[in-house]
Amino acid sequence: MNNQLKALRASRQWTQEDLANRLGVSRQTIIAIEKGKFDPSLPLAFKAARLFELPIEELFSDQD
Amino acid sequence: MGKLIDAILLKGLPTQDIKNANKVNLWVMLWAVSLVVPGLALAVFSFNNLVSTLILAAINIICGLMMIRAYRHMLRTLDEMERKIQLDALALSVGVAMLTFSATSILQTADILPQLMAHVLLTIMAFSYSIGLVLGRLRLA
Repeated sequence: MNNQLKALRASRQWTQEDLANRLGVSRQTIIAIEKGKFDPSLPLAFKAARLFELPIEELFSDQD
Repeated sequence: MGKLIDAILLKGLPTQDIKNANKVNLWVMLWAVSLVVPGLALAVFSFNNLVSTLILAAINIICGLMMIRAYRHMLRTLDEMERKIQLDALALSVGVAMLTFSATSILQTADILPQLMAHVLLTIMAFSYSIGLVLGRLRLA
């Protein structure tokens, strides 16, 4: 799964730690999601979408 | 090498998760001590008082239950990625235990190996669980 988390985080000048705190996960989880090594659960993906005020499909997309 | 050290030292985990993990470690140690002490008492002091043995067994069960409770609490408070790493490591540990048990059973039946001692199996499970944790963290780091 592809995601725009890193770009969106950078556009808001948040650190990985900031984003982790806002989403209630560890910084390691943010690193893994940004690198595409870990796919978040639906609740976490929706939480991120709400945080960035974007539809979920603009944040996450299928790899194909 | 840096990633490996970070994975072993739990670098990047929130402080609360590390505190919960330390509580689990404390109960694991107490449970291990409560497992070893009766065995030593039996071996060294020819200790065979029924009431005392039952008390030692009860202490072992209580420590075990507290260990399970602490681990369950830790799992519930972990974030989803760390929980996945923990569950994957547990699956590896259970799988290794099953394979070890089945393979040694065959070898015992053929009188190639002596009977598998419980502490050996527990050590193998603990070792494979630890390896699973480190591999999981390396894979997702």
